[in-house]
Amino acid sequence: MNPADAEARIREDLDSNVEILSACLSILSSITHAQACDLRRISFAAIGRMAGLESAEDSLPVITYLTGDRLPILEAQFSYIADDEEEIIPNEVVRNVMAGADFYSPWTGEVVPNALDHIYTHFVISDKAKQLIGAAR
Amino acid sequence: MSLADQADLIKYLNATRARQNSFSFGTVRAILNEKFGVPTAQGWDLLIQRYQAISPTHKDLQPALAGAKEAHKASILYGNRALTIFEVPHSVASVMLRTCQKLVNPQSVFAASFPFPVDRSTLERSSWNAEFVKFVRNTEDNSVRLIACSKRAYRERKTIDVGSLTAAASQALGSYDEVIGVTSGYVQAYDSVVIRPNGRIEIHIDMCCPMPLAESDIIQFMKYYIDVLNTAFPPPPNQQKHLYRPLNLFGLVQAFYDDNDGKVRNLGHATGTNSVKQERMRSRKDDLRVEPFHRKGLAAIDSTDLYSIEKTWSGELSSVFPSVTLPGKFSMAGDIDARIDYAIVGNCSGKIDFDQTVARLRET
Repeated sequence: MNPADAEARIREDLDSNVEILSACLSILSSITHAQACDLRRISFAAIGRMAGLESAEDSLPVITYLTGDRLPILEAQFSYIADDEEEIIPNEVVRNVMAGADFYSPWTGEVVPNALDHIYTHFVISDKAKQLIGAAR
Repeated sequence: MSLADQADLIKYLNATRARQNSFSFGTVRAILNEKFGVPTAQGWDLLIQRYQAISPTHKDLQPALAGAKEAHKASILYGNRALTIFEVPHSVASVMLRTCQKLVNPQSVFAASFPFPVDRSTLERSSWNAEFVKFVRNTEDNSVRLIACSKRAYRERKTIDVGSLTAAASQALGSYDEVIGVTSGYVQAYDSVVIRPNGRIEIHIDMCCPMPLAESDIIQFMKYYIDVLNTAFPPPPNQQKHLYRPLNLFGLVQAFYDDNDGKVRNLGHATGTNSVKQERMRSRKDDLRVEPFHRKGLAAIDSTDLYSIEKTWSGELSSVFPSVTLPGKFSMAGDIDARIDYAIVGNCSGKIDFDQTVARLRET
């Protein structure tokens, strides 16, 4: 994936939605101007800032597009945080928990009640989009 | 394999489960899977069910039993522990090595079931004072380990699932979004005193409670063993006790930061610009020293005084990272009399990890 192809795909797909088009192009530009170390962990709020959006909630349609099959630039990751410690949780485990399966603490090995309250989402640049990082620097 | 072996395996797994506050389930999984090549599970219930359900003749049972034994042994000797170190003359160490076995009480309530824990009612009735229950001589380096057991009280805060309560109870809680309960209980601690021929004496306090032990508790537990050893091995008249002042580990904070090996995960420092910083990487696999915010921040100021650090290293297993925490306070920053009397050694999967990690603790 190179920046020109990514931009062309965004324009092709989002031609009819100017706001999301503009937000996605802003994010693409941020990524191509960024250093890799600044993109190791991308929060909802960071996506909102990159996209020039007023609130993090407004970034949801943008995230839906950028994590989709058409242009998978971002990849969701999940972490379990408790007692000031954090562990990255495989997406498959989170899917199962959302479907009602028990979640086990990686530290104690015991079932965590209300586990979804302790599982947080962030984003990373997908493997397919890694070469976009800093491409315009 | 036999049904008896299978029962043994479950017994070791349950005993290791009881050590979960000191020895993480992730480390148990790594031992079983990475070292012994047997399948594991996401949690204790599933792991135990897996090995209860398979045939006693299954090929995985033998390595699983060996792995469970190793994990249990590691959990009582090398789990998370606070460690203080004394240095005594070789001649004193020599006497201690020859005669310290006398400190073991074979009649202790903990001795009969060792290495397994005593049952709950026995634990509740037992004394607060630790008792030495096992003497182990290491033939490789001629050191001696005295293992002590005791009852340790804890309090734990837990979130209560309001959805699991009866309708009346839920209603009584009104509009509270989150309800926290406090539980208390007892856990069996496995502390150690290690005496080495070179005069180094280590006291290992088992960090076996759900909440981290307070500094005052750690010091109180250490003081108990110091008193026991000083009483058993008194100095000549009018001379200082053998275990008087532990090694001061404060100088290691800067040394650990400066040594290129390992990863600095957590750092406390007080800057010349009058700020106090506590910086931490989310993951044990990352090194704060190469993080841009940290590097550029340090480059922007003339000086800073380090006072606490957590550093990790690669261990015997690829997914377990042994760590040392030197728990200084910001009042110590830049103080010429600063002292750190103990380190927290954590995430060791076994003897190799623990020995390599403890060998890094020295006075600078």
